[in-house]
Amino acid sequence: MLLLCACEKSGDKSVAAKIAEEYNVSHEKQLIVYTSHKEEVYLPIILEFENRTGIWVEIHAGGTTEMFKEVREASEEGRCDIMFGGGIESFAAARDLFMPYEVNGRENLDPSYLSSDNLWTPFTELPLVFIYNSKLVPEEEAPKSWQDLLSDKWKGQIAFADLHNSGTSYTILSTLSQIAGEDRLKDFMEGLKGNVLSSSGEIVADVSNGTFLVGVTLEETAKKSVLAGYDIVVVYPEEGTTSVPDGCAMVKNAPHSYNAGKFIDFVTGYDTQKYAMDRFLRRPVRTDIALSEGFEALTQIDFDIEKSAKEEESVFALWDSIIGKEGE
Amino acid sequence: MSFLKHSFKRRIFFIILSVTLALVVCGGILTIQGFQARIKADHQKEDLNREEVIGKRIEDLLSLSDSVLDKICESDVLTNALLPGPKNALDIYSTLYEVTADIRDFAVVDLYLGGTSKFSTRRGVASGCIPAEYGVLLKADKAEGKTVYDMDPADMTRSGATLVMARKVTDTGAKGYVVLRIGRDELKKILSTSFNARDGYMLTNEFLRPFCLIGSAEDGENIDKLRNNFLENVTYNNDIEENLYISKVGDTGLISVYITPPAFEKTAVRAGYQIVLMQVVISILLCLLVASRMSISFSKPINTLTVAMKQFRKGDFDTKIDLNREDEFGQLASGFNKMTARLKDTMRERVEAERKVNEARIELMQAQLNPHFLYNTLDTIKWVAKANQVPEVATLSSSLATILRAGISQNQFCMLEKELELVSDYCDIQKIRFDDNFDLEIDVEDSLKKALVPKLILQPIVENSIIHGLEGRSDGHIKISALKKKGQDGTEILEITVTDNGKGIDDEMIALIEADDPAALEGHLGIKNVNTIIRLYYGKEYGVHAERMEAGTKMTVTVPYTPDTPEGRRGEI
Repeated sequence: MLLLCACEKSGDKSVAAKIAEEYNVSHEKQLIVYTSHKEEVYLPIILEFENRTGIWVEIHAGGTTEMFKEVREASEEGRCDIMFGGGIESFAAARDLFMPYEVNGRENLDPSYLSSDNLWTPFTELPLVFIYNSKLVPEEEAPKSWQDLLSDKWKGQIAFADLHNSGTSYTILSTLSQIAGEDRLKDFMEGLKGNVLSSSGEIVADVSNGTFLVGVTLEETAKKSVLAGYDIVVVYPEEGTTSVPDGCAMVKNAPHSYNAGKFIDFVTGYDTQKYAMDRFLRRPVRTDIALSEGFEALTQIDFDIEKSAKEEESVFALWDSIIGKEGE
Repeated sequence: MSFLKHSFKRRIFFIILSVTLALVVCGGILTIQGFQARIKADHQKEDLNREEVIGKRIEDLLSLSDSVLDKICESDVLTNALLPGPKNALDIYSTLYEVTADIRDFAVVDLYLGGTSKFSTRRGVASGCIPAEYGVLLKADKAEGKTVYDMDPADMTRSGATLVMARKVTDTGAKGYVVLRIGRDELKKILSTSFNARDGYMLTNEFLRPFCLIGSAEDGENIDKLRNNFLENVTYNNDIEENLYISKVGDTGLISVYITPPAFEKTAVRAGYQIVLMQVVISILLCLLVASRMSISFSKPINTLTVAMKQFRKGDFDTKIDLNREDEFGQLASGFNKMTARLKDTMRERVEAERKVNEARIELMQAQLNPHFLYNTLDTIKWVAKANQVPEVATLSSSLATILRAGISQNQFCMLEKELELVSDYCDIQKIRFDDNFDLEIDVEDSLKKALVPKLILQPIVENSIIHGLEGRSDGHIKISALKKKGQDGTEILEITVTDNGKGIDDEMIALIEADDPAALEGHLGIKNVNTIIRLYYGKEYGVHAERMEAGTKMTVTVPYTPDTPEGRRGEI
């Protein structure tokens, strides 16, 4: 019996050793990525990265807040190389987490969102656009500007997600405040009539099915929905709009920092940027990529990120006082 | 340790327990492990067979698909379809459907120009665009006419994707590709017919990104763990209970992983160990029982023995043990019983002997009391007689005193001279008794007078001559002479003769003396004693010898000649 055990054990071992020899991945061929992108976005990019470089990528995916929290823990233990995804305002808020990296081909990137100290690199731009129900709202009556959005016509007709659950909602309020003035925020919130969605993901569907007539959402989401056949029309606001890019950064204590650099180069590289434009309808940060059909050149408003951050507390307080806990 | 040292029962318990536990635990574990190993090996064989079957199936599937791609590349109609110029769509489609007939029930074939599908076997809507500079078409472009395998970006997820096989067909002008798609569900359908419901299977690319996860692999847990193990460089099946069989699918770069559940359910192994544990508990209880039984069977007789021993020590010699057993303890008990009996007898004998010795001592003391008193009295009589001018009485008492002194002397030997003096004193007394009707003549050389002889050996012989030989005669004559001669073996012998002129000893008496029969000399105590004493001291060749002469009797006493030296006195007390 003992002999049998021994034979079997040694057999196992040699199999294991053979497999280890054949498949084990050396340290130089590894990369750990935390991402808050959706699977349909990060997976093709990461798979292509693996195919092209032969580097095995360990993926951790989840919501932005959750990922930033996990990256902080992983960074302390040296278990994370890259944070991929999340608005650059999140990166700015967690500057201490990242290492500067100057991306290869920086000169080809839109300078407006580059981090001056290279702590992060923008991946794609996500401007805010209006949408309206193409069946219920005639083209000439559709909102053309942020000011239009405040008109009495749309009271109770704007699809808007709870400020507590959606980062986009805050960006919308901030933009509104910077264009129309802080004092108008109150009117806007009251105009919602307490009719608040639990997540920004419902906006397109609810406008498309007529529950609401208009809404504000990300260009990418709106364009995709149009392609998917939703009954909505996309409008670029006349005053211009806010476009917060999502970012990508190398994390402090990165165990595979060389590969992390390659990854950042790759996601801002021509092929991936073009792919993001074509497949994801995400606006590239590279200046050398032609925009797809239907994408207008953006008029960016002079968005004051610092002011936006400063106001955050008061806006939330106002929201709570008007919408209160009704939405909850 | 003292816990064990002080109790026989605990010691037995401990010994039995350790032996039993060693047997139960080692045996149990060995059995379980042996079983496990055996069943594992059997399972492994089966698993490998199944893995081979499914591996072959996927290889066949891919090579069949590949052969279709070959046919398409060889077909002029189809390659021309991707080149600029006029085309006959009907021709193209009929050729396309003809060559793909074998695989159409599981695969969709498209002819792509750039990233756009131009001709497709897909039902309903045409296949979507594929980016030309990214993913599978880029790979195919670089592979220069070789088949490449990748995931369809249209539906890729972390748990699977459509398998895309692509090959570049034309390179002039816009690049033309043939793209063959096998959906996840089709893969599943084809593969799941050939394996057990409890097994699992995954087909992955070289980075272990799955095309499909089937059966037990569906939850994606195992692929994540396996991938992690490769990244961490630990054993591939670390933290994975199931058996994994990993192999490469031909030269496609794809990896096929077959998963079977562990041969031994954890619960079965646990149950095995639980049984062993139960056995341990039972053996502990049994050992306790046996130990207490054994210790009783051992300690009971020992206790009985201990109690008996104590009793015996206190002096009860009647102690007996009744164990009613035939083993070593029984033998011990009977030995003990015999010992006490023997000791009891010995004690009784010793007490008896002691008593006798004490009696003799008392008698001796009493006996010594009388002669001294008599001796003193005789001395007093002698002086009273002398004072009252009665010389005969003085002589009598003086001679008697001398004889008495010799008698009570503690010495066993004396010089012949002393012996002769004693005889002379004795004769003085007898002369007075028998009115002076005999005389005594002593004819001994002075040198011989110093020889040592046992005391009181001549007086009885002389007494015998006076009383028996000279009875009724008035001119009796007794002569004592001594001479030294050589014996047969060269020793010196002292020969003392007592001759009288009496009526002569009769033959009967001579025979009695020669016969050396102490009982026969009854009534002649004197001669008998002399003979006995001499023979006790010196042996049978010495003694008293009687002889009748013409007138009278001649008695001869022979003893070894011993001069009066310290050596010679050795026998004296």
